[in-house]
Amino acid sequence: MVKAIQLIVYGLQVGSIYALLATGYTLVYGIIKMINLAHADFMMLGAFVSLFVYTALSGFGSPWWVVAVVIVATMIIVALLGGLVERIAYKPLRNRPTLSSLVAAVGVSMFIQNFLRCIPVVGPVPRAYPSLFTSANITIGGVTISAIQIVVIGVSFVLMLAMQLLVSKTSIGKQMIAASCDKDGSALMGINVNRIISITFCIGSGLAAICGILYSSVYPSIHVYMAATIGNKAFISAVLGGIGNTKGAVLGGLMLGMVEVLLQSFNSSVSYGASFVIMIIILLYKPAGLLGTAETEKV
Amino acid sequence: MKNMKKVIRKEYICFIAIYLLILFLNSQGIINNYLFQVIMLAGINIIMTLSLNLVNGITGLFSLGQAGFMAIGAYISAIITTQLLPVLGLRASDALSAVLFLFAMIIGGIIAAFGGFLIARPTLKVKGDYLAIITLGFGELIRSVIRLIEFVGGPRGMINIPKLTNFTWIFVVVLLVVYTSRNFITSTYGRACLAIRENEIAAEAMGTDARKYKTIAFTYSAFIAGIAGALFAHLLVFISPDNFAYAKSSDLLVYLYTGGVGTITGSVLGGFIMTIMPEFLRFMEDWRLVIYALVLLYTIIFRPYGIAGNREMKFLGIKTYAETEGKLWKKIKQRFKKKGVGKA
Amino acid sequence: MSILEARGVGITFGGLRAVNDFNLSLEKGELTAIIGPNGAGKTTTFNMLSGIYKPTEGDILINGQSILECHPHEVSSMGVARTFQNIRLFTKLSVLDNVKVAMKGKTTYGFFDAILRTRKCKSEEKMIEEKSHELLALFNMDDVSELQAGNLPYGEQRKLEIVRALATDPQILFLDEPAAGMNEVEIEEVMEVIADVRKKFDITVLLIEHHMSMVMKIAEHIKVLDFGETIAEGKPEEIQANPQVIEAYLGKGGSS
Repeated sequence: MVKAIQLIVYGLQVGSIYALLATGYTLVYGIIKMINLAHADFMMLGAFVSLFVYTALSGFGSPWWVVAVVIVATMIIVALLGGLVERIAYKPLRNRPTLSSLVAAVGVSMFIQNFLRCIPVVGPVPRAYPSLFTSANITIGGVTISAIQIVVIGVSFVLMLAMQLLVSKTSIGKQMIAASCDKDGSALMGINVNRIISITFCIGSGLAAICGILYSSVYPSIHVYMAATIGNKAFISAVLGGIGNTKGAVLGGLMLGMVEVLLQSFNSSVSYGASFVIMIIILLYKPAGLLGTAETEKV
Repeated sequence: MKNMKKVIRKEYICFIAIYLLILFLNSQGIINNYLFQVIMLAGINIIMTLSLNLVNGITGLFSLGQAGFMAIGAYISAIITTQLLPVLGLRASDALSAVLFLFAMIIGGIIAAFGGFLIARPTLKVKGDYLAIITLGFGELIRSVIRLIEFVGGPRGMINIPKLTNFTWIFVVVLLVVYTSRNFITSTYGRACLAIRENEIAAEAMGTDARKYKTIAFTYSAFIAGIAGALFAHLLVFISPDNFAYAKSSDLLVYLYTGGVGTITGSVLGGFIMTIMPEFLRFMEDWRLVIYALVLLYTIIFRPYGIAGNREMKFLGIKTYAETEGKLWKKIKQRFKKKGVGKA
Repeated sequence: MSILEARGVGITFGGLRAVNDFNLSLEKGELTAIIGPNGAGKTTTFNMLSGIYKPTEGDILINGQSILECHPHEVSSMGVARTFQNIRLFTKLSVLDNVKVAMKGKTTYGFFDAILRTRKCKSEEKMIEEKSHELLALFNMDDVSELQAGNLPYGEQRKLEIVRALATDPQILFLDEPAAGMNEVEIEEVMEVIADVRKKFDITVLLIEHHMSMVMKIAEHIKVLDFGETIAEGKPEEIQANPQVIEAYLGKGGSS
């Protein structure tokens, strides 16, 4: 029983990072109908940027406000980088078939990973990540939960909730939905589509950056290629839940996290391949994902 | 028609000349053994790029998993040769070994093709964007499976593969793949794939079974990738799952797009140039991937038709509409002219 | 037996009943037109009749065989060809290739014949080449056969769509607004093309069109749709006089 709850908490922790990352994927897909394969690399950027900001502020120790500054500064910097990438690499390809954008995404990802690997500031060697949150544990009725796990799950859920509210209640959110349905129509209605797309990218990248901070707090060794595996799993989560649907991203992420943790307790080497197999199976029966709506092409 | 025949014959002589020239230069030490191996690797990359072109360029399917099929071909063929050569008491230099090699290559290709068929059938009905991640996943899945098989060395890789690949093999296979690809493209199969790429719904309305032709393209390209894998394994003598990681598939993407997606000429150019170039830019070794990334981005944004500019070499007999801009091509031509006239 | 029969065909998209209780019986060689205001469900009906959408009720029979379980390419092989409301040519391919793609059904050579370019492949390719040129020449398009389809002027593109459809050797031809966006002169040309088609090929035609002058001149039967319902059918004179149709669609007296 205790083991079960432990596993569930662990699953929630793994799953909420996937879910948060998946939300970023899905927001971007919803608006420009393109899967940003480089999204996960912003997570990696978040990890490194936060490392640098923390080191820069190292004179002040680790009080809570330093951590807050690190988080906010990282989010802003990575968000801006995300907007920059969109302007440079994706905007010119908006009117071209999606194949071109996918190729560009591969290029962006390749660039970010390898450029960082080459510059001396980062380098190819894994780096240790500072402990931003307390390493205390709480034990309730035999179940040990670490403070970090609580932070990860808590922050993820708060952010995912914030995203839901943003998309459904705010004006910007409604503009995002409008732009994702019909770019030209939205433009005619006075929505600055370019601005909305950039904002979406910035938000997505910012989310990825926080994922980076959270993930690195749990696994405190970061390197330039760290994003690949997690990125793929987050992507699978987004697809599972129905790409373009933020609730689906959350569902998919949590599901995948749980399944992975359960499988790992049986046989660790199977779990990576298993996530792909699961996605293929679900796509076979529900080609638009669990909560997705199939987009019918106008004939 | 007679002019056509003359052109073709001139090209055949060219091929034989290039083949003999390279062999000669190598025997005289002008092309040292290292560079010779690089040329052979370029040949293998050309084959892989041609395979990707069939799926990506001709049929318009974004596949990121060619490395997986290459791995299947590599491992299967290596198993066959490493097991059977000693049994038959042959050494790598024996003539019969070449026959065995051919056999192993083809079996490797067939099994890779089967893998392609398996992945194609169910997944081709999902949206195009998803295909990218599914093929990527498939490649990773193959790698994970290989790591689990102790018989082939698991994560440590397979050693002592007989060095059966030589320049002749690679040269011949490249020509064969170019020949069959061109035949495919100019046949109803190729036209069907092109039609599917252009407008799938219209293609279906004109009687083309999209699923069938996508599967055929996928399977055939997997076969070619498997053959390339076999050549690869028997050249490097040692293979491991890391040789066939996602990085290989993304490298292929760079080769295809910079060379010119959709054309055979582009695939050959891309595979060759992007393999050879790093050798002359040795000092930028670390930055190779950064340069690849920038080249890929530049190409896809500004020169989507790559170096070949959607042109095909005349002797191939494929009709294409050249990209009208071609400023880069003109620049390259001008530079070559300058070099010939200005400098000695 | 009528060549195409639709019985009680209906389709619902989510909450929208796009087409309801559509019935049709096409006799060989006739030209029937489906008209109605925009959004009436005409193209949706075409899409069902050509196998792209699956109706939620009813049955569609071609030469007595139901097509409900068929993919579009299977329906095509049963003798149905169509053009599209928004031109769907293979824009980057040549005019000739566009036609050749549709001629695929005439070839029998297999994959290995193709990649090895056997004699069978070569002779069948030659046959297709000749037939494609012939077909294009019939419509005075052979001189542009090597041009890129996307570069043709608009009217020629519409014509090419029709020629391409004919290359599949169909029994029934669906034309979805073949005169869309055209002026008086161009409409005359389209009417000539359609008349040409009916003369040279033994074909049944089903037409969607908004240009009433054209419809009234060439259609033998007309069905009128409005909000998915069939509100009238009959001969052109009957339709022109029908008050319901006039109210729903024709406005003042039948001018286009």
